[in-house]
Amino acid sequence: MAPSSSSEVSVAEDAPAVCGLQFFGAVSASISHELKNAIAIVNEHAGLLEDLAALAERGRPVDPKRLKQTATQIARQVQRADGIIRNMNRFAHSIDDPVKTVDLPDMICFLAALAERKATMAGVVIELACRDASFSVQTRPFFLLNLLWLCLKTLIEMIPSGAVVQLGTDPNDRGAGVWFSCENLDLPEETILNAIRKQAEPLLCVLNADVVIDRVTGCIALSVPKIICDA
Amino acid sequence: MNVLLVDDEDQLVSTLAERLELRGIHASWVTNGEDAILMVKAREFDVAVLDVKLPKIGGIELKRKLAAIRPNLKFLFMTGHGSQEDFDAGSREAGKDNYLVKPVRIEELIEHLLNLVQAEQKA
Repeated sequence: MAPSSSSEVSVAEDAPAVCGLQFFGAVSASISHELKNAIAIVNEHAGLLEDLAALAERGRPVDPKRLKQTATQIARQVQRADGIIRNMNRFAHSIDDPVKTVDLPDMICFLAALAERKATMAGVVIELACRDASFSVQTRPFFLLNLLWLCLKTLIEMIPSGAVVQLGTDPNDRGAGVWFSCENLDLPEETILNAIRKQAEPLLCVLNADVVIDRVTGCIALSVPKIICDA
Repeated sequence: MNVLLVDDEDQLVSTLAERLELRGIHASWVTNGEDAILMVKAREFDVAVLDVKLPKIGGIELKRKLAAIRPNLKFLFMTGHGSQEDFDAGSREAGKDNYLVKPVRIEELIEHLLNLVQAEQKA
């Protein structure tokens, strides 16, 4: 076998970073789209208030209830945008610490929030089923979030519209497990698992994680160590 | 003029429809492709304004389905993304002049709607 060139080695070493950049781009695009929608709605409500004011100037009475309703809708969209920006800020800071102790149920909830738009666009519902209130693993937080996203994204893209994905996490002997469950799959679970593995290999490696089909439950089960070895 | 607005953000389309009505343009709205198909089968519209990114049936695919039902229906795309990819897709389907980026100015929207309907009348 011919020896690998230095550029080939470099590409392999960079694989988690490339995955990470793609993840960062996908989430940023989704967040910016959500924000654009919130701004567009505020724009329409503000425009409607202008229209109603212009009509009032011409002598047409304005219903105060309509004004209040519009103001309430603007406030709701401001709250929505604030929530989106908080998620964006949290996501941006997820890369601050290369290794950190993270609350896994909390990360799962955050993942569901990040993936909500993607799921909605595919007609898929995400249901959280975290049984334990709180437990932690010491890991690479950004890459773990990236891996969880890849699992969920692949599942969403491969299941039929109208499906429900259940998502949960439990502590186990090794550290922690995260499971993804969906009924009424059109495809064999192995096909989905292989699609996840193909994309997630660099992340599984960097996180010392594994993804399998749980033979008892039929779920896609991700396993991560309690403490990452080289932390 | 009868306009159908299709966007998954109900607050956006309902308010836009109300503002068009205040300007004498009859506007109906739905939030997904399936309802848009039912609406277009049931009623005649001059223009359908479609979000490029819609749940389940995307805007581009929806345009093709609606055009098959009503060949004379005109289309205008709007999107929140403003990405080159979306612009290219929307432009291919509806022409580069019939693609608006959110937030949309109502005057600009009406200008596009009138241009589309007047072009049809001249043809």
